[in-house]
Amino acid sequence: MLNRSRCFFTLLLALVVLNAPAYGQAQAEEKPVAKKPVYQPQGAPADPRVDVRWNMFHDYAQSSELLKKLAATFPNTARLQSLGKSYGGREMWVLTITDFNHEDAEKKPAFWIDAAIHANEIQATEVALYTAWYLCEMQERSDVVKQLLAERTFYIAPMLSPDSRDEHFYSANTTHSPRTGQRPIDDDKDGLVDEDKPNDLNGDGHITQMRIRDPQGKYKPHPDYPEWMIRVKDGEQGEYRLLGVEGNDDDGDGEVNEDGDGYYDPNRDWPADWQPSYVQGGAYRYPLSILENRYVADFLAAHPNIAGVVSYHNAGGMLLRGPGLKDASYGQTDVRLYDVLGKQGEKLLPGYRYLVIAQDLYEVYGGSTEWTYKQLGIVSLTTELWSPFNFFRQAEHGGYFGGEETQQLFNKYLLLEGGFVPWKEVEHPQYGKIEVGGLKKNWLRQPPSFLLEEECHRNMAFTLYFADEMPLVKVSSITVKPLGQDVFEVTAAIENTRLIPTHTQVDLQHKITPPDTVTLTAKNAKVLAGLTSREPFFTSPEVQEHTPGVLKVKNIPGHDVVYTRWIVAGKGPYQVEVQSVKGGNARQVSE
Amino acid sequence: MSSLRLTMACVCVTLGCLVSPLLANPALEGYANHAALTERVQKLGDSDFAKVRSLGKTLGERDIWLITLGGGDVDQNHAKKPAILIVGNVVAEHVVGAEVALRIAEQLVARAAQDEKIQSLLAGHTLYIIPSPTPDATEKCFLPPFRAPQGNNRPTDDDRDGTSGEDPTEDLNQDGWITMLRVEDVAGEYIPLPADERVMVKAEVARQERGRYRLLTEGIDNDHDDAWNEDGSGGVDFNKSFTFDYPTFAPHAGPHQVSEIETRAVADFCFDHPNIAAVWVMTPEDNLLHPWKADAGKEKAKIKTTIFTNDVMYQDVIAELYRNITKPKDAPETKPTGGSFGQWAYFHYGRWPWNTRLWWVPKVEAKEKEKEKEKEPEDGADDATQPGDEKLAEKKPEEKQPDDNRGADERNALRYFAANNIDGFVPWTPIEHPDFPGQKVEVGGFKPFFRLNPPAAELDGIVEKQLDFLTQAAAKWPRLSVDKLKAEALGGGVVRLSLTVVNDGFLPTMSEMGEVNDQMYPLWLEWTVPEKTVWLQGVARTRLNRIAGQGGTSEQTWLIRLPEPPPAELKFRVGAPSVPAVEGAVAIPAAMP
Repeated sequence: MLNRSRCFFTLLLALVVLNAPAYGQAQAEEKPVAKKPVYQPQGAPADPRVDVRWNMFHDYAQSSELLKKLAATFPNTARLQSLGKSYGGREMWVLTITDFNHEDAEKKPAFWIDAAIHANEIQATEVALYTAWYLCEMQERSDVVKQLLAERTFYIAPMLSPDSRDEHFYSANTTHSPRTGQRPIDDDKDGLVDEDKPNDLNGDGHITQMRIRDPQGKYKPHPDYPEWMIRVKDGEQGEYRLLGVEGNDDDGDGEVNEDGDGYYDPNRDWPADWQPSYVQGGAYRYPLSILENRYVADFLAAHPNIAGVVSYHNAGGMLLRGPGLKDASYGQTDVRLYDVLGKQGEKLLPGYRYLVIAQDLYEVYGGSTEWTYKQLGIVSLTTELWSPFNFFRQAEHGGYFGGEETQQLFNKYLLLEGGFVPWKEVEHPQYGKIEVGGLKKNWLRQPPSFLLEEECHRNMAFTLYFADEMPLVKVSSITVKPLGQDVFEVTAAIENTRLIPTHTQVDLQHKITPPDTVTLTAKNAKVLAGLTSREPFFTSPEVQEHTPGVLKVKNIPGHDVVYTRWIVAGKGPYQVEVQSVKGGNARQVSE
Repeated sequence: MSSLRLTMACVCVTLGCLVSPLLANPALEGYANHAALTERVQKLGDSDFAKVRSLGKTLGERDIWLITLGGGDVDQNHAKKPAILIVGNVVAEHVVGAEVALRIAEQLVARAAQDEKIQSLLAGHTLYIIPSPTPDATEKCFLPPFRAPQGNNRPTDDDRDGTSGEDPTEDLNQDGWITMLRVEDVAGEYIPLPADERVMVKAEVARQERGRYRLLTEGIDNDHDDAWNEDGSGGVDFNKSFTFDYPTFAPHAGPHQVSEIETRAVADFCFDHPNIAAVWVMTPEDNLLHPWKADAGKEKAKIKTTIFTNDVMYQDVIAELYRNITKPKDAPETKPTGGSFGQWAYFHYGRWPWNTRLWWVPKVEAKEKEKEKEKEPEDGADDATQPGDEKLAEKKPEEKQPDDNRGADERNALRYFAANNIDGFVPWTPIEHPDFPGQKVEVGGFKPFFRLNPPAAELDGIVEKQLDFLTQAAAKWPRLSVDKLKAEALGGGVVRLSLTVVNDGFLPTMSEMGEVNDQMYPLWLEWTVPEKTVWLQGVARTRLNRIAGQGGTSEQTWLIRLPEPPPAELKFRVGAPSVPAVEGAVAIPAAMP
């Protein structure tokens, strides 16, 4: 009831906001409303136009509503579209954020942000939503954001697995589930589907653990943290036997929990290095056989202006680049780019480490960012949110989630013991009297409320830095030299003012993105010849025989210049225009 | 049969009216284009043995037809019986694949009522037949100018320059065919083969040859990039699109694996039908005449790329069966391409892969006179093929040449054309070419299709052999029985159940690849027990591993405690979607005193 009435209220609010702009503007012109000045903190505004709390998690409906509200409130900055409906009938939202009054959104270098393809990794969505919200709210308040949105487009897909997001929120789960989507799968190939899932025996919304009192058991409670089961030493008397994940034998086949939610991993479904499930666990039928992913792939293919990708996951605090396979390697030029980005990320995100998937983690066939890099030629990172460093701001070496002792300490003193379900007796149909308890689903992979907002802001800040380093081309100079008899030599310096080249090494290798073009136009002149050179003296230029007025340039490296020269019959002024699929467009006219 | 011919004739007549302004492909006379195929497929739907449906519509809005054949109520029963999937025409130019697959269906339907062998085939098996899995690509075979299609109707940027289809081929000599261009050029790498100057080969330094022709496909360089016909927007090739050994970034392989409506439709159909255990593909990449070889050294590799030794022994017998029936002579060997459907069927789908080419150009011995000519080519043997400029002609060296076996297939094809009055070669004829002003340019070479598709008159004979193979191969299916069935009462309601499942058929219950890649559904043995039965050892539903063919066994025991009063007998059932189930019961003996 509470939920429903709040929903209704927010809906009303949304309607008011939707109708507001014209009315509000007219009012403002007549007599400025005397507003009480707000003490603005640094970071996010204290008086945003769209009010959101960033210390909580938003379910599918709340996230959808926020996206709609942003699009309605900031019509010149945010536009919402759905790529299609998920298996469970939910929308696959993409919010496009840019300065729509400044150049064509699809021609600007663009940044793709996706989140929560593994739906249990729920704060990924919050980071993406925060980024969208912050860019909208700050466009008029921050010169940096204003310029960024004038130059760049952001495509933000905050929920790649919306069905499983709601499943995590509203069904009993662990912090690790569901990683899969919601299509029914007959995992054990017995003709029945999902017939024996874990069960929430004590009805608390969390799937925890089962233990049974047993003097022959090898476990006992930790002396300081009694919720925590630890293994006894050799020869020491135990108190409990662990019985695994909370559940029973639903299908009466004698086994407990043997066929849960059909398991497929949406992030082993992408075309690069794809292998079937006997090689790569979680692979489904063939690449992009998961419809939600195919929508995304189609969108990416239709937007070759995308020059940067971040995909948000959890956990462990990692900025990951490929290769995903041990016997693969990236070209040195591209590795240098990644290294610059990764090192900066480590600074902006304390506790995060910049790592290589295959070397530092495990081998992955068919991961999404490997595909966006290797086959679309886009510089791409996977961010594993939430570093165990955040528990006590100390380097933690206990895997992705920190050591158990650290977790217990944090639970006891910072979460006031809220992170565990106390062990409680239940009657189990197969095992008899047992106890159920353990870790709740809402932390360990997810930050607690008081750290969530920081996680959102810092990750956004790194992503904005990354986005700003996408290629950006300009015509930095045009010089005209008369050669006599109305023939002129026109030379233009074409510059890429940012770190990332217009074509990554892998892009050039496979001719993924068409070359940049530099076009000379003049009313009464004819281009006789066209040349390009990597240095200003044209000592060994490349000559383009056909259509010399439109010079093809394979690549404009980061923080570098390419020179183009035309021999032209006829006077100027000459217009030089550079068009780069991933680096944007710019033009200049000679004097 | 006669009614079939009549129908064919009618179809041809109707078509003739429909497409009269268009030139029919002389190489495919008697073959069905999509409209004709659709009509014949739909007609099959009238039979009680057949059900016809479309797996989807392609970009070109053509249906991907599926014919399901089976005895009894085919609609109700097809999924309950083990199945063979037959896929024709995975390589667009190989139209014989579609025609034979369709004719197999037509013959089965026509004979089902009388022929006992076919009745028994359809009683025990379901046949899924997809005669034309990539109909847009195949339809291009029937539209002039005739050229071997590269793929479906998806616009593709074959040369990756950012524009799709900007440099297609052109029929420069207006003969209705896209053949080749040879351009006399000092930088050219090719020469006419001395033994038969119609055939072009690369010059070899070892033979002291010097190239003097460039060889290009017929057309002009529309986009002035010094590449000829490199982007005809050839579309995506069905047989380069599947996940095994996928050739990423290769022309016509598509943006990624299984990217097309038709590839997805066929793959999803396969995954949705666990009763399929063998996939019979009509493809030039044959593996029944030249079976895949195992390589025990590679079997342990994480990613499997060679057929398992345990599968080869069965597959070889099936291949031998095929050879005994078809009696092939001089069959060429064609290595599979990356992303092929036939390899996917085994390596990623885990089914028995039966790939057959159906036909090839038969060997025609050279006449004595020609043999002599091969040894010592004469000057001026053939006007049309003789390079006009004497200065360019190479002086033939005196010393003995290494054996010149180059172009053997081409020369054989030319002999075959001559012997059978087939107009399969365009003599090299000079034309004016805008890209090569002042240079001698000739159009000529092999017409596509003729070397891959037999004259229609041979189709009936080919189909007859395939039908023989089909009925005999289906008889090799795994067949379960149960032996040593026992229930022992141990007292107190405790009973030990034991049995041995035997495979009396030739084929194992699944291929080893199907077990390794976990795509084949295993055998499940299920006991029906009274409520409150306690399983002391084992469970009510037991998964059985692969059972070898020719008497392979799987022994199983269970310990249960039955409630009072115990039932007189317990029933069990064992089977898999692709292996016919057997059922049985064991009597429960009275409790021991």
